[in-house]
Amino acid sequence: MLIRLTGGTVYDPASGIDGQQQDIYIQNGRIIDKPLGEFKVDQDYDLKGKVVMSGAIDMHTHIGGGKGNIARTLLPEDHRQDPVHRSDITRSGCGHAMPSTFVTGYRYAEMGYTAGFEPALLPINARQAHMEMGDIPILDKGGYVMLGSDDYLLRLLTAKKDQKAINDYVAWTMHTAKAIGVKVVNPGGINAFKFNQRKLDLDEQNAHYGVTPRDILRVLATAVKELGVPHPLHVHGCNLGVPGNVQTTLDTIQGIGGLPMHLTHIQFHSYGTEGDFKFSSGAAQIAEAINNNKNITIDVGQILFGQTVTASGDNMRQHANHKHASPNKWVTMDIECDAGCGVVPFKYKDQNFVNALQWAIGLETFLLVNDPWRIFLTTDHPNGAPFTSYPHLIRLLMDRSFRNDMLATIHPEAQKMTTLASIDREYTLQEIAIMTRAGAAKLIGLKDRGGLSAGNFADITIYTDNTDRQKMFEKPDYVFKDGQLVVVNGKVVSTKWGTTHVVKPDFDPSVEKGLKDYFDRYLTMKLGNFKISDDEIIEDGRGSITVHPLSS
Amino acid sequence: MIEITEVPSPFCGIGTDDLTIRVEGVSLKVIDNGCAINTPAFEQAITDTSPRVNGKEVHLDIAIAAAAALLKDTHLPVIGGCATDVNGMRGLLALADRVGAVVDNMNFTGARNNFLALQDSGWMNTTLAEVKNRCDLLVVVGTDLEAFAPRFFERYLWNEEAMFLDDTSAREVIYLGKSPSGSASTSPTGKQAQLLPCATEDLPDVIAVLRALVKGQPIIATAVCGIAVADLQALADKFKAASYSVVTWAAAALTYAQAELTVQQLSEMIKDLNNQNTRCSGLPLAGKEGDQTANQVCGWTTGYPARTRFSAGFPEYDPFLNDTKLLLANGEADALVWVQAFNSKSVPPETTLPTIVIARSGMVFTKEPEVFIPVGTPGIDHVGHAYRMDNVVAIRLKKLRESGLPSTAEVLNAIEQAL
Amino acid sequence: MKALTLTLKNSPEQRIDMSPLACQLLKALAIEDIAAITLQSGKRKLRVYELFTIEGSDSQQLIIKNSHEKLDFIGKDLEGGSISVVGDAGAYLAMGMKAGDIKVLGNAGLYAACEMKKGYLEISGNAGDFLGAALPGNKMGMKGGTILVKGNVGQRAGDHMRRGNILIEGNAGDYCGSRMTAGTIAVMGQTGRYLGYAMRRGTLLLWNQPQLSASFNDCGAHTLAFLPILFASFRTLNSRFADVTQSFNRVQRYAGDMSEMGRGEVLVKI
Repeated sequence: MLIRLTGGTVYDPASGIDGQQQDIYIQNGRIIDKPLGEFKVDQDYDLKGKVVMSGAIDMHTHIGGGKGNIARTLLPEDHRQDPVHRSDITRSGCGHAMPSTFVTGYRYAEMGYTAGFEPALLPINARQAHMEMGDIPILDKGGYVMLGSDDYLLRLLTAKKDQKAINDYVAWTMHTAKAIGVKVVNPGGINAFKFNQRKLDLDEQNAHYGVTPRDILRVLATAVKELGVPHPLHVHGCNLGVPGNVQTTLDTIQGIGGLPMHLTHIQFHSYGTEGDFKFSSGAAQIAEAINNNKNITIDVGQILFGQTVTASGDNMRQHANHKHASPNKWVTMDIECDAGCGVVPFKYKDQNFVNALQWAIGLETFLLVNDPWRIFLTTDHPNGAPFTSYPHLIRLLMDRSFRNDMLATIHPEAQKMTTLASIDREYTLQEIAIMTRAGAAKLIGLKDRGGLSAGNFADITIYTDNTDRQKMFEKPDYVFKDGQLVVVNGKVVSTKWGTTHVVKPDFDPSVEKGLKDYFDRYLTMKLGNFKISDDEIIEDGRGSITVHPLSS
Repeated sequence: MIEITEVPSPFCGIGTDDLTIRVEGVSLKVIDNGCAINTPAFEQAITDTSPRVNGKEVHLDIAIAAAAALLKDTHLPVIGGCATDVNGMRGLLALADRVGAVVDNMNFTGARNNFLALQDSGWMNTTLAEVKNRCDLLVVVGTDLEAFAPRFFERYLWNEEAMFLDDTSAREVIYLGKSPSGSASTSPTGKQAQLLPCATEDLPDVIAVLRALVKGQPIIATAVCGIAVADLQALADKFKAASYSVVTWAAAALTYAQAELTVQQLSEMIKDLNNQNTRCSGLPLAGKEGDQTANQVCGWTTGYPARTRFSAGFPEYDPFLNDTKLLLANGEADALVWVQAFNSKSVPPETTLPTIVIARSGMVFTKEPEVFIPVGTPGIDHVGHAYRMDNVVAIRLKKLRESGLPSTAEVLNAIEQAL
Repeated sequence: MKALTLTLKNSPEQRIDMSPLACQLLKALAIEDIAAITLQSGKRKLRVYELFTIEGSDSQQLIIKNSHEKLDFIGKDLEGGSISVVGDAGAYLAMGMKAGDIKVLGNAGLYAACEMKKGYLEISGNAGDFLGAALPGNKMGMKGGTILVKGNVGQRAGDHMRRGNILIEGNAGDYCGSRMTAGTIAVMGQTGRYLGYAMRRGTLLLWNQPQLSASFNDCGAHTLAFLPILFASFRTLNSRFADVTQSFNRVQRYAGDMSEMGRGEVLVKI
């Protein structure tokens, strides 16, 4: 079947196309060049006056894994507020802060997203993450495997094993967990919490191992680079949420010595200690550092006001934050000498000074970082806000007067502590397309996604241009996933199953010798039973695995 | 004949995965590392392979069509049991969504003690590998741990080596409430567990006093339900002195009304301890017959654990009214689907309602159900996934033999297709 | 205008969600419209006229006759008007009620008056577990208003209660006043085990000596000036609580639950 999208205004940063009118042809799930000679169009969509982009990619969203399911179980009251009925083509479920898997897929698609990446795949919990993501329809998905607080790595470091040994272990773990990236969360801090350490600065030693977060970041960033994993080490830094952590973040950037590094939800790591409340914005310093260090990419982790739930691997910081839980219930777990997790419901309030300033800090960061290819639009779903708030966030970025109107309503002391009102920048459609499409695909290393040139998979979103950018982005006219029309006028009209994106870096098989001994002595599972096979993802007949090339 | 090693078990809940099983045709023999729970569960013979409708053996397609017909015009069907693997639960929930059924896991009334506590205040928990390598004080509340999981102590407490303990036999074990039925809790060097016995239904009082003592609140009484307050004070002090204490309980063993409040007191006490410069964690025991699996899959599919109804077209959680037993007793349910792929002794509750049983081969009925479809057992007849008691870890179940029995998922998906 | 009277035709098999019939939702509706409202019952959506015979027209005075223990959510989020239930009420009676009054001649099921905010609920028979409590997951039970139960109540009455009065002429089951944060529960009859379990603050006022947990401490006998004022506020009720001879001001005071903050009080008539 040949589909033609006729006359739309195309924003395709991957090909350098910025708002040009262009026809797009789709056949067998992919975008093709205009066929030569005579041809018959089976379906023709008249897109004159419409905005055409590739499907959006959320490069950091907690959509799979144990902590998300703990969050779901913890919050029946939140689900009761947002029941989702079944239809002939869609499953029932629940929405709001931590939607059920099926609803996650529908609602992402209904906003024009066609892929989402789970950033905290615990190796021991990776099966669950893939099974949950296996129940998310429409979207492509993938995950970044979490390392850095696992005892095996820390033992390697204490034993002064060489970088090759680290690389082999990292590559092996990526294989067994079916990952496309590597994440580190509060490097070594989750482990330190098990030894009753309650904080861990960049250069503070783990009480048992004597290893510092700086050591961990360096070996892991090196491993990721040397293995040729396209996505740089994905870092949730030390001291999340701690006033003064801007210095930690700046030190982290310097300390990585020019290696590629992605700093995630940087808003939560950009706090100073100035002012009456000893809490201030470090966004300008952070933005300056990002602008000056081309090896660094970030996503923001914007907070938006309202009820949500925070779900993180960082049980050390989540435990410290439990006193802010709203409603007052929360979970932390120590997990299998591998990692941990913490789930704390939050209600961000515009009349709370800290929350209001967090909101402003996130926006300052967006607006002060110059290069849209190195900054990504996230709320760290659901931690800063549920992903369903993205259209609102896009409007805040694209519409200065709307932003300033909102700014005028937040806690007055927070207004005084932000430079937001003085920032004129408004994101363009092309910049939004970079942050949410082309840039994200490039960052993750997705081949054939995030662009609209021939050869790409036909993940395409079509919007009606509207100066109210929130309205525009919350209800696309059409969404195609792999060439299949899945959304019309912001509603799912058909469903399908996306693929799971992975990379498979090489490793020396002898790495399993040390691992097998370790598993037998200390863990609770046999090595052979730990490894996730491709079958586990594809055997139900709807999953598939897409292996992406390594960087050379 | 073949021998399969490193076989994981979906039966014991603690994720034992070192069994060696000899397979001869369709008969299994546990050669190594069996236990009182796993060995009989694996070795149970296949006795029937053919579906039946009204007691008559039929082809699978006929049985599926009959099941679909029974469900078609119901007003409130109930899918009980829910004892299967992840794919089985996926199929079960898809069918429930389609036919507007109530989904209820057979162990939910016990599990409710945990869920309601979790949903009210949360908890701080740990998992088995952390216990194995860190735990220096294990407090077992109201549960005969070795009867629950025969190899718990061998695998997770008296392991030869631990990463962070010099001598695992120096760990301390204290039973609060129920005393153990055997001596598995005695350390390899002969150190016996300390017992602070009381009646199970007295635990709410005992735990409340223990928590008060942990918090340093005054208690005037000198004894509570037969336990000296001084002994509880000593326990509170041990918690504070420990580096990584663990409190374990089986929700289903707390067999008295409103036991969720006991679980909540325990979990809040653990939080109190973590605010007093030490580490302490909970370890809820479960994982039998797919209960964690059912709740996990229902959790990501609906947001709620597996006592949820779909009758209004969307999931509604009601931990009391969606109870299979209640729905059968008060005449609300008008059809019963019983899914039990693990245990052929776990028969459906007695009812005169049209009943469809999708269960492990060998189930014997006092009243023949309208439709019986024997299915394979996950981890024996087909691959699959099951959750361990600590919920984080899903184990990959192996296929051990070629029995030809369909999986739960295949049968439930086929019924949905036939509607 | 005559009260709108719905008489249940047959005992239902599946529970019926009565929440669409709260008075404020009927205000602007003609009788034909009310008759056509659909009620969820199991998988079915049944119209009011299929289930009930309909008489009268004043929807702000609703009478449910021949009522049944499977009629759930009667008076849910009620904002005014009155509902009279002749017979039994199901679960979640008067849930989230904001104003108005509801009277039940028979018994009520689970979670009656859960998360009630204001108004008056009277149950002539017995109430089930979780009277005035919070739904699973919610942290706030009854926040205001008055509940009078002439019979007995089940377990966990007033769980997570924040404010308001629960008056029980009969007996209360186990865990009465569990996890209370504030408010008053008065029980004339006997109370069960684990009274006030994990309560933080709030008052349990008892006519009979309870079996108290060791996590409650005896604080001695007291004469409390606020009690006569409290009893005076009950004078208008159609209840033994209005009976002057039932009032007292001398009590034995117990403080607990020491497992929580220990600021709750159990006051026992002496």
